[in-house]
Amino acid sequence: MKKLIYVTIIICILVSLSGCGSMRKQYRRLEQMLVVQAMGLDNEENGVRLTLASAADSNKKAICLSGSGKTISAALERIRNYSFEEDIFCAHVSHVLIGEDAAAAGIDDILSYICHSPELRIDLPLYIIKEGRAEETISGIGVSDKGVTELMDSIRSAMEHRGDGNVFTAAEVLGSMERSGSALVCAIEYTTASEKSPEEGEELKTAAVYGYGVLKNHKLVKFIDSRDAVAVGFLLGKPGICEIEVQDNDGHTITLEIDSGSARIFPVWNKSGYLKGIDVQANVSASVLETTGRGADFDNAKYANYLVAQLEQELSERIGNVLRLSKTLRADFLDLAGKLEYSEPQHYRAAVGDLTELLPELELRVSVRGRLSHTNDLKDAWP
Amino acid sequence: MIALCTVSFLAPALRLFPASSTALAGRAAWLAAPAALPVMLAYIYLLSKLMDETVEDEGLAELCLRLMGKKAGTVILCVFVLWYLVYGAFVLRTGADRLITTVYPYTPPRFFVISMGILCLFAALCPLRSVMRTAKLVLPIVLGLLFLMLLFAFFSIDKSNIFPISLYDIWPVFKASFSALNVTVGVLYTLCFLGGMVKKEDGRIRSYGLWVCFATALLTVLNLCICGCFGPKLTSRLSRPFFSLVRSLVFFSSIERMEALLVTLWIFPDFLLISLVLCVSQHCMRLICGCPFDNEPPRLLSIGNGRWLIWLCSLAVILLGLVIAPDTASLDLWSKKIIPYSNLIFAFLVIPTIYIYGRLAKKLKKEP
Repeated sequence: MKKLIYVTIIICILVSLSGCGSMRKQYRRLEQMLVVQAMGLDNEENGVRLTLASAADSNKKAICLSGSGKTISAALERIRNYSFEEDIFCAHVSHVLIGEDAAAAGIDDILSYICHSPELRIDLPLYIIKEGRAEETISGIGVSDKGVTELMDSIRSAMEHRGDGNVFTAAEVLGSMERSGSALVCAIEYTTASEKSPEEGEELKTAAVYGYGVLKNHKLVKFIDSRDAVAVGFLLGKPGICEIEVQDNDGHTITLEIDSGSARIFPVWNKSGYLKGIDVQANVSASVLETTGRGADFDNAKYANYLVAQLEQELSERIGNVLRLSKTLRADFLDLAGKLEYSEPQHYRAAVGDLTELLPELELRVSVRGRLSHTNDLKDAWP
Repeated sequence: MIALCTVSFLAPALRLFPASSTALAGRAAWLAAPAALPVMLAYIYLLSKLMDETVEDEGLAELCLRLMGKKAGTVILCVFVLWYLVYGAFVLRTGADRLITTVYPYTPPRFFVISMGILCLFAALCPLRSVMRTAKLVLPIVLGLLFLMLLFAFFSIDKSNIFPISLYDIWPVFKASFSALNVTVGVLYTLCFLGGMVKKEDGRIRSYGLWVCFATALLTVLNLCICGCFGPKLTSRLSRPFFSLVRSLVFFSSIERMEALLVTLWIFPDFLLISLVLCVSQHCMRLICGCPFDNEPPRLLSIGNGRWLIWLCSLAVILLGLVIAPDTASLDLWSKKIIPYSNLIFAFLVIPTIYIYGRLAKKLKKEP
């Protein structure tokens, strides 16, 4: 009898711990929930505009919900109250899109919400929409079985090996902000898609990677376009695959595909041991992807060297552009401080305090060593 | 004993160590545990020397009474009892807070405090070997899952978050090493109180020395993974960095949000630590009150032979768990200041004092 009593007591406690009993208010059925996968945030005069989207499936389009409030929580509560959906489940949000206006006003409140929310994860990828609003982008993108969630999923997976963009999570942005007061966020643009609507022949809308948004003190201060974004990839140590166009000595355009590369960053000290400049030494390897005209002759060392020189010059210019932007903005969004410290930790810690203060006065030296790795099937120009 | 030691150690190791050590040592925080290793080994040696002086069926509590005399010994044991009751309550409260902030956001803490307290009461009512057997069963599951999480996190480490290290990091690492000491020595000296309740084994220094090396390696890997993924600044700001890390992990691009499973499993380290604390506190209370100990396995609900003290201790722990740290700010104060400092005082002041007093009074001789 006593054993039965003990077992009953223990089972009662275990049942309570498993989420039933007093925690019944948290019990939800799957079919009652709208699983939100994309979240958009825009600035409004008196607060924020929140847009939520579910994933699309083969039978129905993605469901989009929008609401405004003084805070994100208030906007979410408003969406919950004024929606047909029984329960809005945000634990599986996998993309956060921020309108340019909201990013320019500052994303600190957004980061704070992500970090404090019991549902959201801090490794959520963030995107800033160049010259656009998140609500318009989320509700405007998509066809019957592909919505913003599916599109952002494919953008994210493409970015893993592409060299002209990177996706940064809220944790990475926060970490970079804490470290240097600035950060990069993947920038996308809301634009016209290649496809047209099968029924009406109307233009469809899509999102494409633009480059990066530069944040300083949590506010968007500048965009880096996809051309210079290639250099950012090199400086961050994630060069990836991307195309670069150069001119050969006859003025024909040759498209080279960068397949690997690296950049090392060294401090340049003056005689007194203070930081005088930054020396960037990059290596790049590219293959020939496309040629125009008939003059291409890759067996000719002079011709190949000329192309390599063009490649080096192009990349050097782009790296220089990004570094100059960092200097101009006084924003160490590339974590130059960490990279400089890495090469000479002892000296750096002794001589340099806050790198952002020194950035505008620093000299820049950029050197690039390139090589043509291969020309794919054909050795020279066609025919 | 080692299994109980390991599982109990995991509760403070994950709660306290990553955030506190990273706040002090930044990216060099992963060196904090290795830096503390010599002191940990020296502490094992001290505890071993102290425990060598115990006779059969004697633990640290009995030794304390014998060395310090009836009055001073009783006072010290009272202080220990008070400490363990508060510590047990604190573990109950932080366990509840962890469940609320990770899985059950709308549940009041009193529910978890009371239910866990009752479970621990049953554990304390059982013979100690039941608690040890539970630890043996739980250890492979908890450690296996922990290593799996750390393995997946290892591939997300950004080396710029943990390197470079320079001579300027020596002092911060030294300060952070106290966090590693804190989580390790607390479990070690608590186990000394069980000396009289378990069979003595040879090669104690060696096995605990190896355990300390294992604990150091675990703390190092833990900090490498957490700090390597989040960076030192963010890690030090997170309230539960390890669980935030688990929340962020995606396995094979398809399985995610595993934190509920891990948080639920983490009830076991809390359960065993609180049960251990209850066992020790009721043991000390029975010594103070002069109650006889059970010669044969007692009936579970019997209150004879001073077993009512187990109920009293459990009730005290549950009540204290309900009243201490009602809000986040006070929980932070308890977690970062009151508990760690008190633990270090007991480890490095009270216990060495017992040893030194015993030596000075020449009482460190085995009684026939």
